[in-house]
Amino acid sequence: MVLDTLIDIMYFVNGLVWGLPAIIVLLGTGLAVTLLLGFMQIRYFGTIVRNMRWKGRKGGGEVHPFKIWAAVMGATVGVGNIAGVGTAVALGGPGALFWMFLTGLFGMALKAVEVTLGVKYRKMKADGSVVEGGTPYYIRQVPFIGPILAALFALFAFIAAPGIGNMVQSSNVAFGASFVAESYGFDPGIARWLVGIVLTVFVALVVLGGIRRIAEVATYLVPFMATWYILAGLGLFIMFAGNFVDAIVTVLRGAVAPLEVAKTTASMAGSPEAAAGGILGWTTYEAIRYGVARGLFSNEAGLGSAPNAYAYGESDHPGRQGFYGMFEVFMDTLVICMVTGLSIILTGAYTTGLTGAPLAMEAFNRAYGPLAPLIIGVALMLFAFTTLLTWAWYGEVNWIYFWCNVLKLPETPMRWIWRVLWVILILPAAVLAREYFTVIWDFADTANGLMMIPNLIAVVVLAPVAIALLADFARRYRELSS
Amino acid sequence: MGLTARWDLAKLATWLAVVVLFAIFIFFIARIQLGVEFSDREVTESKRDRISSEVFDNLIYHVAFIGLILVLGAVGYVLFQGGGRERSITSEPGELVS
Repeated sequence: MVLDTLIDIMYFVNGLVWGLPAIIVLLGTGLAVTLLLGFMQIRYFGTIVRNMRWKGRKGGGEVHPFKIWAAVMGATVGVGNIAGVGTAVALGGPGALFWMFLTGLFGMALKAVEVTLGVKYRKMKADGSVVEGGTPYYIRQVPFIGPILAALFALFAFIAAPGIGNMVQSSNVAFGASFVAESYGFDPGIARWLVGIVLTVFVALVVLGGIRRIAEVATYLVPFMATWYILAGLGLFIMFAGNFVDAIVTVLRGAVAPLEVAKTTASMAGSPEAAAGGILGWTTYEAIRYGVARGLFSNEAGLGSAPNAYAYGESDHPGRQGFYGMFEVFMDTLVICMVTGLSIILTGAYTTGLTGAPLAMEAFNRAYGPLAPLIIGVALMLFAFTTLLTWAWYGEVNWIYFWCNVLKLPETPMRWIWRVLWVILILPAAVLAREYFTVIWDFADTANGLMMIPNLIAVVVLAPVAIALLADFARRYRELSS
Repeated sequence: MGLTARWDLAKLATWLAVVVLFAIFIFFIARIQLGVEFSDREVTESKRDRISSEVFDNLIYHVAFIGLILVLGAVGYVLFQGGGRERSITSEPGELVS
């Protein structure tokens, strides 16, 4: 009875932190910050790209900034970039892509602010090693309630991490493997066990080495997985190039006006009977609601996750990491999410009534036939695997803040408890059916959404610091470049 | 290099105004969309039910949640500002400790 009430409360809170109110405050804050920065992400786009070539500097952080960026990209680009976009288009229609694009654009500014604060408020030794760094360390700067907000953020983050950063991802990697295995006639059950065991060993080898090893592995995996998926998308765009203008018109129409299309089934798609399945309709409200939601939850701008890693990057100026953050959101939402979304629209798969990953799969199936399960399956596995690695670090930073900084427990044993815990959760999540974990995952998902509240308050209070630093970096970098 | 961060009320007002206007925009669009008719009656009704239950049945909670963040953000900003509207900061990427 008590448990049922607690579960009801959890779902109610989940509806708030992942629902309409969260969308409003997150996108609203992103838009406000964009205005305050004078549309920096557009005006300085060339600088944002050129900044990615920076060589790093010894003595001002622990890990090369590109490696940190790759690690964060590994966490940001996840299953949401495929399944989440599929869900957004299924529930919000083609117009959802337009609103997702805007979300990415404004999210770039919001991410830049939180990442800049993460670097500004870290503590380092003279040799450049970071003693303290991450989201709770800037949240605690908020007057009076800062320490409480920081502790709450850390608590939410380390509760969220094992669920959404580990078990969901392990299950997704195993799901991707079993999907590929089944498509080619192998036993999906054995594939899940194999993947679970291999994943446990690999993750143990990487995560036990801390942020340096996570970033090192991400440096190789993330560019590969992004290139794999983007090239597959570009190939699809070329095959369906004749539909491009129509697709863009459909997206723009759906963004501002209700849209109605003939419904087809996946098996009938392309056939003369294609229009026999009734109609699908989407309102403008749904296009905004689902486009913005899936965009925000893909790029994580405003949640406060990414600063936990950026704070450990080599840097000569906090604004520099802010620019890395902008490029991260650009790649996540404006490139990878758009590849999925446009593939769905160009191929006409959005009229099938499918949703989530199967909708993206249907789009790639229309372009690549029997190769589609391989393309999507590998992408799903890699996206989930890299998320699993970096979230281990996000969780660890906050676990240490909570137990060692707030409650004063010894750091070394607590760090190892976290890492071992992280590794042993992988196998059951990979092997067992998702139904066993639904409530635990939803609890973690709610905690993940709750991270937004202390982070956003800190972002607003400290925004003037980040704005001054970003403007200073942009000015100086432009002067140096010219 | 020394910089100045300014906690002027214009920044706070911009954030408050943008979030409030965006909220009004979303609720306004949702209200208009309740009247949209599709050629299939079932589709029309399912859309109305979904928008109505998501937006308007829980309106008070939505407003309370948004209000809570706006109030906490604004109070924190004003308190921080109380320590000086302008503060000198450096562009150092972190603080050195022994």
